[in-house]
Order: sequence, then C-alpha cells, then structure tokens
Amino acid sequence: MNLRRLLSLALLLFEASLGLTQSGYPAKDIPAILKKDADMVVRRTFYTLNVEDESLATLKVHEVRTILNSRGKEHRRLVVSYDDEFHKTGKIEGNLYDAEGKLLRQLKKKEIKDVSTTQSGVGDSRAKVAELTHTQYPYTVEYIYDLTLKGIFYFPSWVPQRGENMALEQGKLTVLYPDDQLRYKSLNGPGEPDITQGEGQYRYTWTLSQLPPVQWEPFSPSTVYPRVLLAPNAFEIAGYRGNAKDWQSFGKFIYELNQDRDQLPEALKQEVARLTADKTTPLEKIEALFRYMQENTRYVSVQLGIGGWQSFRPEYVYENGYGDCKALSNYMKAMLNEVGIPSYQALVYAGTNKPDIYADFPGNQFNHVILAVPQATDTLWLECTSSLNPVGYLGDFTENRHVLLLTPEGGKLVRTPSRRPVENRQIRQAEVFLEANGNARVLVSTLSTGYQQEALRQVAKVATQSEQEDWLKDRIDLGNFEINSFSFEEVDTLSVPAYRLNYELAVNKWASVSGPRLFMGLHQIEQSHFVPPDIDHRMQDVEVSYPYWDRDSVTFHLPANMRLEALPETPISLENPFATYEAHLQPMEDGTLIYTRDIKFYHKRLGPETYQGFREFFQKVTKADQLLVVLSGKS
Amino acid sequence: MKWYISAFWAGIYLLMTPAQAQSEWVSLFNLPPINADGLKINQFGSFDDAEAIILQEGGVQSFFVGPLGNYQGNLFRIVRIKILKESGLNQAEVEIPYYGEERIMSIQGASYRLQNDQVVVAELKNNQIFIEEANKDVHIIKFSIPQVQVGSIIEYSYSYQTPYIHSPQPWYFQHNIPTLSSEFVILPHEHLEFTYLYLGDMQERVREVGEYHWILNDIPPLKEEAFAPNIDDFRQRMIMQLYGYVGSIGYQSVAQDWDELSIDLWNADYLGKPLRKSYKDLDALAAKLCQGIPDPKARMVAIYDYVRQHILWNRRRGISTDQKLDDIFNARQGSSAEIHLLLIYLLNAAGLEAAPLLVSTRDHGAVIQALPIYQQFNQLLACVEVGEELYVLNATDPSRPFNYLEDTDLNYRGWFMRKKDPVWLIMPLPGLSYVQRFVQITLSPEGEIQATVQEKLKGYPAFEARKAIEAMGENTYLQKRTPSHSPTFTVSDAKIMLHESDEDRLTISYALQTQDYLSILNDNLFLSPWLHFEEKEHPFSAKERTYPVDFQYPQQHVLTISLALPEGYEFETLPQQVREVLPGDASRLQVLAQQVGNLAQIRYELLLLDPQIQPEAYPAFKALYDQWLSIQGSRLVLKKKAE
Repeated sequence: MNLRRLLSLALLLFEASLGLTQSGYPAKDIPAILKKDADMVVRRTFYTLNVEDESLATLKVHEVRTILNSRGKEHRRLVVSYDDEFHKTGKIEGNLYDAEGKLLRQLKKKEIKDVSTTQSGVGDSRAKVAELTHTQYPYTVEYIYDLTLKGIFYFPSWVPQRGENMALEQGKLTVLYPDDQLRYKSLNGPGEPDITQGEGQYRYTWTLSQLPPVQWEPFSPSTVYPRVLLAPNAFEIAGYRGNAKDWQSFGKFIYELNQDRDQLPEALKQEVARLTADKTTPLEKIEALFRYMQENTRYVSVQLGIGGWQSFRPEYVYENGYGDCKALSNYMKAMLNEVGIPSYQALVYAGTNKPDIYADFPGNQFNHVILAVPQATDTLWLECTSSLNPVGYLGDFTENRHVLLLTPEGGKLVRTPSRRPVENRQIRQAEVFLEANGNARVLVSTLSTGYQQEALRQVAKVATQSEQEDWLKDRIDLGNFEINSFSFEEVDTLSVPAYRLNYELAVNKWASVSGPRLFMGLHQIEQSHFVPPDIDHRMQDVEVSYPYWDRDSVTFHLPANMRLEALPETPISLENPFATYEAHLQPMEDGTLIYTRDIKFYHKRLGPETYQGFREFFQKVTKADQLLVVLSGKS
Repeated sequence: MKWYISAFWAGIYLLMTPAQAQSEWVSLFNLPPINADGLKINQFGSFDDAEAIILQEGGVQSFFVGPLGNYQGNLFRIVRIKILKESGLNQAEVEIPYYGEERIMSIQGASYRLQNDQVVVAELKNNQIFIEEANKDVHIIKFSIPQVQVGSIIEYSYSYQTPYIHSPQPWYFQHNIPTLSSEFVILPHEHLEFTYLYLGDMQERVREVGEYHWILNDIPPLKEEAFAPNIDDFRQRMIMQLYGYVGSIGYQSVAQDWDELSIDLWNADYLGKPLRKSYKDLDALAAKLCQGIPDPKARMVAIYDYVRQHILWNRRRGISTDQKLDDIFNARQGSSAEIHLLLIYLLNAAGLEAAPLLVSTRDHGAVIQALPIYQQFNQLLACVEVGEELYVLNATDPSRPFNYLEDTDLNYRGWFMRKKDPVWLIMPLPGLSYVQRFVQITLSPEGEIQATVQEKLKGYPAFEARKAIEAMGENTYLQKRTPSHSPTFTVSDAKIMLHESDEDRLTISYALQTQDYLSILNDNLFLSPWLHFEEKEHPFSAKERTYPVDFQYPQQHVLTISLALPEGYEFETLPQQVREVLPGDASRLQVLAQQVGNLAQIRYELLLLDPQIQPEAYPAFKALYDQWLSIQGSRLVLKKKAE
C-alpha cells in the first residue's frame, strides 16, 4: 500500500467520521427561545455569492429548515427561481431527517418539477420546485443548490428570516468579490460584514444567529426582518456594460440601453402632426397625445431576456396597439419629442401601500416605468399603462415615493407628488325616507376625489352595468335591500380627478321594529368595523400612507305618526395625532333629523408608542358609528 | 393517462392535413365579410350590457390518420368577437392550453376596426405567438390580437390536434360572454364510430341543419351565483365518445358499459395494477396497525386514521397514479387518488373488502351515467364493505373522521368499482351539521350585561373550525371567533373543547361583559339578544335565480337565549312566535319564546334539511331568509315594573 492510497483512505475515513458527527440537525438542539411562537426554524442558511467578474457570478445555497408543526409545512418546499437567459440552475440536492436527525431519504431527481412562474403575459421566469415531506413533526429538510448569474444587473438580496412564526438559528452570507468596493446595505440586524483578503478576492461575511420569530405589525412603514441588500458597481448584461455605483450612472445605463429606440414610424409622425395641429399650449398637446395613446393602446406584457429592461420601439406599439410599461412610456415620450416637448422615463417601485425604495442605495429596486414631463413650474406625470387616468394623475400606485428619472445626463432621483386629505375626499349626502314599518327609501350621492375616486372610475369606465350593480351591492353594508337605480358621473371641474356616484335604494328594515318602536342606526350604508389588533410591544413606527377625508351628511325624514323617543348624545369628537372624527345629530324644526360625520386621516409617521392610541381611536370610532335613535308611535 | 388507437395500414388512408382543409371548413359557416356597416353595429338587444359578444363561432371535428399510423382528432375552431366595453379587451388575450402530444396548429387571427369610415385590418403575425411550458404535462399557446379597441371585431382560428380520440374535447356552445351563433360540425371518419350527446337545457332550440351539423343561437352567458353548484354542469355542450374503430385486426368495438370499463381499469397500470402488486413494507404496516383489533370496522378506522394522519394531501385530485404505492408511502404525500389507492391496499392487506369509488366532485360537475367515460370523474375514494355496511372514505384531511367525506364529494353518485359486481352508489348524505349557540344573559338594572356563550358545532362547521385552529393556532382562532376586537364587548375565559373521542363535534365557550351594549331610555331597557351573532350579509338578495341554491349538506343554525331579568323589570313584550315551513319540510324557520318567573327563554332556529333549492322554489326560500335576517335586528324591550 503506498502512501498516496493510505492518505486518501485516511481522508476517506476522516470524511466518513465527519459524516457521522455531522448530525442531521436533531430538533432537540433548537433552543427553547427560538421555538416559542415558531412553526419553523431555519437551522442553517448559508449563502455564498462568488462574483467572478462584471458579468458572471455563482450563488451557492445551503439551507436547513426544521418544520415544527403542520402550520410550518409549506416551508418544506424548495423553490429555485431562474429564467432562460440570466439565471441558470445547477445542482439541486435535498435530504429529509426525522426529529432525531436520522436521514430518512434523499431528494430524487425526478421529484424536481420545472414550472413556469410567469404571472401574466409572456415571460421567461421559471422555477425548479421540490418537496420533501414528512408527517411526524418535528422534521428537518436540507437543500443545497447552485445558481449561476450569467450577466449581472443586480444581485439577489439576503433575507435569512422571511416571515412570521419563523426563527433563525444560524445564518451566514459570504460574498467573494474581486475588490474591496462591494456595495451593500444592511437592515434590521446583520450589521457590518467581516472583511478579509484572500487569493485575488475579498471575502465579506455577515453572520446572524439565534433570532426568535418576529411578528408582522400593521401600519408598519417597512420590513421588520433582517436583510442585506447587495449591488454591483460596474456590471455587464447581454453585452451591455453599466455601473450602479450611483444613481446617475445607474440611470445612464438604463437610458443608454433604450437610446435610439424612439424613432416614430412615418405614419405615426403624420398622426401626431394631425392631432396637435390646432393645439397651441404644451399642455393641450400633451393631453391630445396622451388621450390618443389611451384610446389606441392597451397593456400587454411581453418580456423575454433583456426585454425585461429594454423597451420595444414605438413602431412595435404602433403596429400592435399594445405594449408594457416600458414600451408605452417610450412610445409616449417619442410622440412628445416629435412635437418638441421633452420628457423622461422614470423607474419606480409601484404598488399601493408599498414602502419607498432605499434612496441611499443605488441599484435596481424598481418594477415599473412612468413618464415625467417637465413643465414651466412643475412636473407633469403620466401613467402610460392606464387607459383611465386623467392626464397628469398617477394615483396611489406610484405617488408619494422616490423615482429615478432617466435623462441623457444620467439618473436623477426625484419624488412623485404626495396628496393631502383634502385631495382624497369622499363627500356623501343621503336622504332617508323612513316608513313606520322600518323600511326606507334611501337616496345617496357621493362625490369622490383623488385616491378615493380610483375604484369608482375603474368600475364606471370598465365594467358592464350588471358588474357595476354587483360592485355597488358589495360596497353597501345593509342586509336586505334592492338598488332601484344608480349612475356614475365624471366630474372634471375640480383640480383633482373626481367621480360622483348616485344611487337609490329600497331598504327592507332600515330600522328594526320591536312592538311599537323603531330602532334606527345613524351610520349604516358603508360601515367599517376595522380595529387594528392589540400588540404587546410595538417595535415599528406607525405610518398612515393613505391620507383621506370623508364627510357624510344624512337627512332622515321620519314617519308622520312616530315621535323621537330617544336621541344619543352628540357631538362626539375624537382626536388623535393621525386622525380626527366628529359626529353630530341635529333634530330640525321641520321634523327631520340631520346627522353629520366627519373623519380625516393625515399622512404621517410617528413612533411605536403612538400605536396604542391609534388603535383606541379606531375602537372609539367603531363605537361612535353604532349610535341609535329610538322612535315610537305617537299616542 | 391517455389512449392511442392505431389505424390499420396507415398508408391506405389519405393523409389529409388539417391545414389544407381549413379554408374549406371556414366556408361551412357562412361567415359574412367584416365591413364598415357590420362594424357599426353596437346594439345587441338583451346582450347590450355585455363586455363582449361572440358574433359567430364555428367548430369542425374531423379525424385523420397521422404519419405514425395512429388516428388523430382535429378540432378546427373559428371565433368572431365584438368588443363592447373596455373590460372586454381581455378577449383579445388568448391562451390555449394543451396536453402531452397534442398540438395547436394553423393559428390565425386579426382585428377589424373603423377608422374614418374605413375598415382597418391588423393581422396576428407568427412572431406574436408564444408557447409557454407551464409544466411537464401542459403547454400554453399565448397570443394577443393586435390593434384592439372598444368597437373592434376580433377573429381567430386554430386547429387543435389530439392523438387522444376516445373522448374528444366537448364543443361548448356557451361561454362567459353571450353568443349570437355557435355552430358545430362533425366530419365522420369511415373507420371510426362515435356516440354523441347534447348536454344542457336548450336542446330543443338546437337546429340540426345537416348531418352532424348543429346550430344554436342567442345563448346567454353563464353567470356565477352565490351558493350555486358547479355552473359548468349547466353549460350548453356536445360531447362525443368513441365506440368502435377499424384497426389492425379489423373492426373493434371499444363501446363499453360501466362493468367493462371497470375490468379495464382493474387491468390498467395507472389504477388497478398497483393494487394487485405486493408490497412487503405495506403488508407489515397493515398488520402492525391492526394488531390486537379483531373487529373489521375497528380495523378499517385504525387504518383510515393512520393514513389521514401520515400521508399529506398535495391538494391535487386525481383518478390515477404513475407511482408505485410504496413510493407514495415513502414520499408521505400524494394526490387524492394516490392516498386512496394506498388506503385501499392497506385495507385489503388487513383482510377487508375495499375498492376504488370514482366520483366527480361538485366543482367538477355531474356525471352523465349514459356515458361510460372514465374521464368524467376527477376523484378516487376508497369504499369498504364491512358485512352489510358500506363505508366511503376520504383520507385527505387529518381533521376529518372516517364517517364524513369532503363536502365537494357529495355529488349524488359514485361508481363503486369493486371487482365483482361493480355498482352505482348514491353518495351518503351526512347527518345534520349544526351550529347551536346557547347564551345566558344577566342584566343589571344599570345596564351591564354578563353573558356566557357556548357554541356547539357538529359536522362540517366543526371540521372547518378544527382546520382553522390547526392553521392559525387556538389563540388566534379564539380571537377571530369571539368579538375580542369589538369596542363593545370584553371577552374572557375563551376555551375550545375538542371532544377527542367524538371528532365531529367541537364546543367553544366564553364569557362576555359589556357596559354599553344595551340602551336605557326613560324606564325602558332595549336589548338586541343577537349580540354579535347578527348576520351582516344577505347572500340571497337577488330576486330570482338561474341555478339552484346548494348548501351541500343538511344544516341547522340555532340561537338559544336565556335571559335573567334584572330586579324590578318586566318584559314589555316577548318576541313573536314564528313558525314558517317550506313545502316538503325542506327548510324551516322557528322562533319560540317563553317566560317563567324572571327568566325568559328565546330560541331562534333555521333548519335547512334539503341542501338544494331549485330556482322555482327560490322566491319562497328567499322570503324565509329575509325574515330570518329581519328577526335578527329586532330588540327586546324591558320596562320598569310599576311600584
């Protein structure tokens, strides 16, 4: 036996003994503090991102999860996202262990499913999905997989603890980077990395351990979970080179990726000339072209490969009559350019009630594109995928946040407009004609503006009449009623978009009858019983990101032969740093009753200590909304 | 699972590719040219409110012999749609899924719109057609018709080729938007014989304009309704089934009755064969589970309990498997078919008589008994004969005991394919499910309420509760079930009793306290005895119904209040007694009230014995439900006794 063989045998034995001592993660090793309120414990989550150069990186993942009970069973699943061009999966291995850490079985190749994850339209996002299942809790799944990034535009974030009822025992993120200029942002705990220099590479390491579950908190401004964001400096994707070191460079990359993709086809040039011939001001021209686009295009997403970031040319939109957010905003920009109005595409992280991007961390944090048209004093914003928005109105999907303007000089971080309660109003007037049997005819007229008119506009313009009626029925909180008539009306005389909804109801038992008396609630048509949950130790700030102002005024016409037996005490005034409420009831000389209710929420962010008071405000409102009057027969 | 049928001497038949015949087929339908006048039509009578309307739709089902010598089916479909509303634009986004070796061929599409009184045509180009591989079995063709606006007409056609010709795709005359004309033609193949069946309630309106050529006009859209059974059951459609063909040994009949189908299924790799193999580990498991249990029914329950608790249902229904039973066991998860095949094997290994029972779940539609087609089913359950008794088992939910099925299984009939003498079973309706609430209220003269609440759940409401408790934990469940977030009530002592020995029951109890729920005015106390139980929604606000109301199982809702009067008060009036019974005792509403001393008892009950209410019976049922809701709003009035 020669030495080499002996050595390799020794190595083999060494490895074998390692294999033996390397346990299958017995569940009893989990500290009790991690198991409290947990359905799953991440035992190990080791991510190693090896950035070879500007266009190539590999990610190696080793993750071990112990599923404590059936509520945690969804975590047994592995989902590795990839696509046809830029993210390739490599090996995928899995092991299943019982509570004691005994290996039950290994994942077989044929168990790995390959599925499309494209949500809508045409795309190339896919995933490999595997499940190792056991039904005696606790049990442990272990997954090891590789992903290759062929072409770099952004790096994946590291989120070792991703949700509620989930604890983290040990997490480690290692980034091997060619120089010492790796850009990162650490949130909620991971802190600064440990940096060492190796063979031609720098090694950045973050570790986290022993994190008990964190519960989600309503009205939180952002995530409560630990996270490390990573971003490249110089990068290359699909042959395009860029840099994300600052917003200016990153914006320049996207700008150049789309440069010279804005020539209009000849026929469209003529169309543009025709549409703007009699228009004199820039605003008139913008309106005419925006309306033309709204009428002639629709949103259809086709995003393959670099098409995820590069716009189709105007010609494509012109010929097909459709496009995605990039294509449509580029199309609009090109038309404006044709009439000498400069405009810029702007990248945005869109969504109602979404947290803002990290403005101090340049890189790809976006999912949507809108268009900014600079005006003499202000900027006009266009949502080019909407066939409904009036010109210059973005709505709660993209307002009140940072966006990256793409200009020839590069990216510029700016903010979209934000709204005050007075712009998002709902002014409702109702007349209730009550009969002695408790039934009522109810006339309602509601003027909604700003964010509050968005749903109305959608329903009014898009839905069929029977869909409109169903929508209205869902919105009204009365038990037994019929809609006699309804109508929607666009109001364009205000400085904000507005819609009016009128309807008439025949309500069975608007007031409940008991013997000779009627009991009538004052605030019945659309109620909210929402009260945020009680939270023991609020950690996060409290944020109201949707400012609004509702005012109801209801006139009750009472049956002739009934008298008011009892009235609740009003006014009721409630105040809170975030909101105010006032309800008032006034019997009039003509025998009618007038009820008014006013509630206003401000856009505000305050410390966690304000949560309890915020919650109590909702409780008091709910109670105040339940005021009753009692009527009885005149005798 | 799919069958192929190989033709005899493929060469002797004409190889007619569908694309060649396409223009010929279009000519069958008399599609008028799309011109400016046609595009101006925006009025469609009773269908005016639709988001889009199918002006004309045609299908040609033909058969040919493919290059490999097996028969192929080809369904050519052409459809012309008018877009009436913005929401109708989605009609221009087309997705066509297909399976395995099927193919979608010869896709054509175009939009037509008016511009300055001229018709502008925009054609779909080949590079606008995409194929997505959804998973290993299913591909989806996706395309968007270009240049579509409100007012446009779109038209597209394609050929759907399938090697699975035993039961070709049905022809659907009815869609989710109205259809002015739907036309279907079958071109018979001389060596293939099919049976046809029209399904739906408009058969008398179907015109047969030639041999195998049917037209149906003015078809309203299908519409979703609350508590409706599967509306696809009501869709107007034509289905076909192969019953004979000429193959390599001459004419062969594939016409089967249900008994013959059973024999085939017992011999199939995907169903019967795995049950007839022998698996030592599973045999040992069965022996272990039944050790010391002589009683056959007890054995059955022991095995059922083991399977439901140890094999996780992957949320897929099925009627076949491509896996070995021991692999399913080792994977600890499977489809309903896989779980029940495993269950049947274990039951048989324990000496019990068990076999598959095939059903079509409610969401899948009714089974047409006239057509012995296996694909009508979507759910395979286990059925066990113990002496004279039959038990149907569904082990997909660990919180459900053996004597209850998943509610969607209760779809009238199932095919019990026992080896000897297979038979149709009427699915057993479960016993009465109920939610019974018992509330004891004590009033103080100052208006404070102390109440104890006991909610007794039996049957399906109990399983729902168990499932929810499993999913969110006891504490969260109790917070949601009780008015714990209410600004009015304070909840204490909330408890769940699970009745371990009696899994179809569950009791929830808690105490309520409030200072400001009832109103005191002058010398009167006003109290709504329904506390927080009042139902806010009215599911039957519609005046009439197209489809039956379906509650799935018999159920009872009861609220019993016992109220101790405060010192010095008496009832001004007790609630009115009510007793309303619908014909055939199908539903009942009852209110009883009595007073004994200073104690009043009121009992409200809604009983729905027949889970299905036909559209004819709906108005009476709605009136009953209206009354049920209005009763909940009424108040008790207590007044101070005269001194």
